[in-house]
Amino acid sequence: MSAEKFTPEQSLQLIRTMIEKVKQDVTENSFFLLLWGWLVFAAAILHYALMKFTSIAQPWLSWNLMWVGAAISIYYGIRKGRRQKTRTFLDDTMRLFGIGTGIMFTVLAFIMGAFEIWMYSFPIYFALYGYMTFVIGAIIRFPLLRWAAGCCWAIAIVSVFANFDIQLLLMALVVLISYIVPGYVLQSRQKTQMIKV
Amino acid sequence: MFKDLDPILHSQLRLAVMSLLISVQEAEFTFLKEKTNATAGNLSVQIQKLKDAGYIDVIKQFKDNYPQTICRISKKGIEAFEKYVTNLKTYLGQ
Repeated sequence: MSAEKFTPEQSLQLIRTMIEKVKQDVTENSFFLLLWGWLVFAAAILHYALMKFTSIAQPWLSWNLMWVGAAISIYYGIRKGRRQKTRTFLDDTMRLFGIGTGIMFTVLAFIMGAFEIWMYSFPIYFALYGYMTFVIGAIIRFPLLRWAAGCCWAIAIVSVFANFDIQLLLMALVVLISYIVPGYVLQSRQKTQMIKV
Repeated sequence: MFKDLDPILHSQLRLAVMSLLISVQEAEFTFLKEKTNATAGNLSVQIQKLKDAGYIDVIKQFKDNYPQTICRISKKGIEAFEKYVTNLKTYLGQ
């Protein structure tokens, strides 16, 4: 780069080019959507299957899969942080929102357990999934997530009238709509971008 | 002709660095080098000029036992960049 014949037009063009170069790739967020989507989906279906088709006394143990998710998320986050050459507001927002969400669900699980009110937990979780999906959609500007959030809130209302068995299946449906499908859509966009590059 | 344009910013490489830093909170030296296609020597000189003008902060530290240089735009730098863009638009009649 030289300073010769540097006109205001070229100057403005240079600014635009550089800003375009650091435009954030939001498609990388598909990893966490798919990880948590499939883990919650598996835990809900497993819980339902163990309760319906076996005589196991503690079918809820399937939810221990969440610890696997936490371990993978921490490992992935640290690895990503080491490779990153920049730090952006979007990265910080997503990281802090992820940490806050994790803490919120852990605290809620503790409260539900302490009061033994598990039967009421799913409608609350569905509403919170809707909220999380809505916020993530706003942060990464992914409109599909707003629609998914709307579905979560509708299911949250419907689930109040369903029994616990059905709520487990609704949980699988909620994560399918709010995490798994948007996760694959984001992933396919990522692949398209890589082909273009 | 361009008397209102900040001479510190009206240089291709320095402006490129500032444009990159305005979009992120902070960036490594290697990232700036990669995006601007500048040589390490030239980039170091221009970064030093931006630092001397108070437009950026430069932090030298170690990461995984390797030296790492991180650049971050300062409040003064943001103000100067905004003023530069406003002046540019005036010139261009936008």
